[in-house]
Amino acid sequence: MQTFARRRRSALILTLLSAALLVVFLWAYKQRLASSAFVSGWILFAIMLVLTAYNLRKKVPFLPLMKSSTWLQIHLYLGLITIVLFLAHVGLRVPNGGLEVTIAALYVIVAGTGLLGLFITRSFPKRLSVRGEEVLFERMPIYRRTLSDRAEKLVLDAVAETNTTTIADYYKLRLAGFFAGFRNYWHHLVESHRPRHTFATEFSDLDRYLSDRERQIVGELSQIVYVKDDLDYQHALQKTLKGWLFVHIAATYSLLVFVVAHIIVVHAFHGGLR
Amino acid sequence: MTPGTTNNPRSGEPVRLQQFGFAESQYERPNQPWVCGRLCNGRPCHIGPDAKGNCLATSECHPVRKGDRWHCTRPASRGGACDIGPLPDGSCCKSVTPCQPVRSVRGKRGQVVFWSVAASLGILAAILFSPARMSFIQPGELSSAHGQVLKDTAACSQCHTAAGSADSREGSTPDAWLTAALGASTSAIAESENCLKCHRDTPGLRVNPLNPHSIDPQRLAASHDDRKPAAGRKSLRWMLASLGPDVPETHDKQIACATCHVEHRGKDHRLAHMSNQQCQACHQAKFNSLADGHPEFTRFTYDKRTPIVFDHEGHTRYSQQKTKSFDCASCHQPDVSGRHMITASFAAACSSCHASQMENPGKGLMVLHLPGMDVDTLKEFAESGGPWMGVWPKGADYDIDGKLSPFMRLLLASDTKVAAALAAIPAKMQLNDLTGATKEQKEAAVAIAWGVKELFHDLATRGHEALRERLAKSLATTIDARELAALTAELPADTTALAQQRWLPDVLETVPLHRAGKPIPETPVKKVAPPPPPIPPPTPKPKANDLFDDEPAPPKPPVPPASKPKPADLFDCGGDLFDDEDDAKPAVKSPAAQPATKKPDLFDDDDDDVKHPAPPAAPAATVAPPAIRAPLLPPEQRALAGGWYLDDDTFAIRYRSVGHANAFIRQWLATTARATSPDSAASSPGKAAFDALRADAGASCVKCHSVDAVRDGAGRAALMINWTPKQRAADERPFVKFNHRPHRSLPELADCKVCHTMTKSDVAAKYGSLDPHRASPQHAGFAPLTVQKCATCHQPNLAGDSCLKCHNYHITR
Repeated sequence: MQTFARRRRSALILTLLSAALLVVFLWAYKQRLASSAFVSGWILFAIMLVLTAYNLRKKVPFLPLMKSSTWLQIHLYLGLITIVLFLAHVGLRVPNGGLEVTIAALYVIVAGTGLLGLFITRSFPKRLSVRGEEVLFERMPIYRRTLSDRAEKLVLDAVAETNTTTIADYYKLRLAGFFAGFRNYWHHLVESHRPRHTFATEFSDLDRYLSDRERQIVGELSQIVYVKDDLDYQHALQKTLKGWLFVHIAATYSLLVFVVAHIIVVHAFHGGLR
Repeated sequence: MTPGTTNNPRSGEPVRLQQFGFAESQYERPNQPWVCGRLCNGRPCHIGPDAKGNCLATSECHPVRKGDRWHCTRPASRGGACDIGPLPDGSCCKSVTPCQPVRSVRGKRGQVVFWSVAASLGILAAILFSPARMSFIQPGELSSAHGQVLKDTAACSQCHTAAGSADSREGSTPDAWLTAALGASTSAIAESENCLKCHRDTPGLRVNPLNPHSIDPQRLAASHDDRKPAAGRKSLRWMLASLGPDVPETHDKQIACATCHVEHRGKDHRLAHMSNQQCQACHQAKFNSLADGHPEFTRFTYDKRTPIVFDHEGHTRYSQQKTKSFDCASCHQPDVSGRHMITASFAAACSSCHASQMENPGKGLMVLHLPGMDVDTLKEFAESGGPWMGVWPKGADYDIDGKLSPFMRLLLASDTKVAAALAAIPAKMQLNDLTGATKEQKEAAVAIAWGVKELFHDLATRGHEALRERLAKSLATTIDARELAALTAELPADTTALAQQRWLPDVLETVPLHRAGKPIPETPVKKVAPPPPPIPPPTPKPKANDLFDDEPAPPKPPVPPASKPKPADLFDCGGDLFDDEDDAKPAVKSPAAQPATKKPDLFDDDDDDVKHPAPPAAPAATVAPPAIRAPLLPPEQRALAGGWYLDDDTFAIRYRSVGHANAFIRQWLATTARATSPDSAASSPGKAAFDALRADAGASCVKCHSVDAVRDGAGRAALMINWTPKQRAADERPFVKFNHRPHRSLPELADCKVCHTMTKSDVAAKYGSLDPHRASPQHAGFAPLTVQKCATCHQPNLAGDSCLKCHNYHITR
């Protein structure tokens, strides 16, 4: 059985060869005074339809249309080829017509988010497995609520037990909002531990004002905070893993709308050229 | 501690939030579009909304009746069966307040996609159905050349048929585009007509604009040669380029403008720029660059011979012998632009050596004349029953040339009978010696004589109009007023009338009779045996009218009143214009030798019927006193400045051309050349006249001015004389373009001979053919230019080696 690395290497080589062949073919077209833009455009459009079909294929899992993972591989490498084709299609120039600029911008968004998504989907899972408990994204609000309730109960019990409001004051000041929702998205995205360190520092600063019992309570409270922080980390990465598709898929369909308009305009105004 | 977990500080065990198990967690369905609205609070119900987003939760469970009791069915993940249990009516005791379901992540994503597509369609529709649609779909700025004249949105229709009519400022609508895109598209050639609306008058596009190189396909095919690049020169680039499709051309081998000229690339885009590979797309023989594989210049720049026949090497050698300088700059100077080197005029370049040859043409051309006729033979012929030519002037017989000049032959050929008569006389036979001539030849000679008489009759009565009619008929062309003026060189009508009166005074009466078929006076009768002649009494010899007349005048019909003095033989040498022999010496006649009769004055204002005074009766025994008269120069000397004069000695009206570029000779050569078809081997009057003029009077003209076979617009072949050096039209676009200025500015190329190396040449062979394109460097007198010489500088990183640097695509010739 092929290892992932070997499969990726052979797929990349095949992709590069295909892209090179396409470039040579289009260059030869141009040298023969034929309009390579028509050829490259239609190939590009066909590939875009195949790429878009991946999303549709996932909606019909019951049909025998190859495995989704196979489709994903095809989607990835064809997507790389479209970058080469697009550059060949525009002739390595920046378009400057209204319609063309729109299409180019949408394509850049689609391709850019696609590459970003490739990077995210390859790097985030590893990060997710390293820190915090890997929980289902749909259940994260439930677990956040659980931690919030747990922390709140601990603080209320501490007030009753110690007859002081030190911990409660701190909870109200810093932790109530922290537990009310998912926090520190950008910090967790860039793997920053600053929020965690900030809490650790605050707990350490609070320590001089605490009795022994309060210190125990704060110790438990801090663990809940750290679990919440890990949950935030998981939430941030998983949200990003789901969120990039919002841009990628939406931009893809918008791009298709403008591309269809572009095809109609080109064929109406091409003046018989091929 | 397990990575990714947090430990409980009390127990030290990892804190686990997520539990998997039937009783611990519920099944998540992320593909469903809606989720419970309380999920964000962390307390979603376990029922969840339906697919349309309606909350289905009313209570925490749906009790189930078992026997006579209702049982709580709350799932274990929600705490299991409650303590209270269902109400007696079977409803759950714990009601749930309905929530407002929210979209799941997938549902939200679907919403985003939907609205994104809707927004895209809306924006697109808003723009495409607005007046700004043409600006929106324009794929880029126009080049500066077009952008200056095509500014508003209506400009799209100037080039694009699909953009609608030029009247509509907003252009065509999107539905029309859809129709155009899905329907039969306009042809590229038809679309090119939009380009040609403005560019039809551009040099190079006036004729065959869509054909390769703007030349006729047949000519293109004919110009193909078999030169190929050297073997093994085909690079990987060309092998890869051959993967492309055939060059897009229509069935009639035309190429649309937009195939090469791509617009909408920005204002700095060069529409005419093509890569070397694109230039060679249509060529079968391809090469890599100028220095690598370009066909050798076997004929450039000498593929077409020069209009002026000039032997450079011969002149150089001659100048050196005469220790004169012969510098290229003496004759070749740059034009105003510096691009071309133009040849100086005759006056500037050639006259210092060659003008003297043209200033003394001797007697000049014998244009209109009487041929010498064998009167005796023809008279005998008439007496034996043949036709009679009428009275022929005395002296116009054996003593003058019996051949007709090219001018006379051409004028006489307008009459078919005379033309046939001319053809019947062999080339070696002369009209003044018909010894051994056949009956038909004698009849032909008589016909020729009458033809000459008719000519002089017509000239005397109708003047130039008669000339024009005859020339037009002979040459089968029209002669307009300007051409007639040049062909006649303003021959005074009185001159021809005077000649007629002097030489053929009876033609005004006899020609009409002849034309009417009536007998003319003094027709010889059939001879009978003459009686023995009586012994004549001694009669005084009549005073001789001509110096050299040794024979007594025989009894003849009345001779014309004007009796001519016999001319001096010395002055009749024939008609070579540039005969350098010094034979035109004026002979000073002694007073005694002067003719007794006074010659009529050319400008005599007397009546037309000039009656020449009868020769004075020779006194019987008296001797005329010696006449004291000024010596009379020969007529050609009296016409020293050129022009027409009467030469009574040879019965000819001669024209004396003096100097270079004489209009008379030039027009005759041009007119007869125009009437000469090089395609036809058959001789026509015009061709015969042209050939004769070339060999005789015109020899010196065509010695330097080459003759080319050309075709007019209707495809008719004719000859053309190159009177001027190479003339370049201001808008000329040859296939190969060369600009002398930047090259001459280089010190290394200041000497013309660096590129134009003279060699010994065969000038005659160069101009032996009438095809101006059949030339070669060997004939041009220069060694051919080589590719390597140009490629020394013209490389990609030096002076550049783009095809368009030296070649035009749209050419005019």
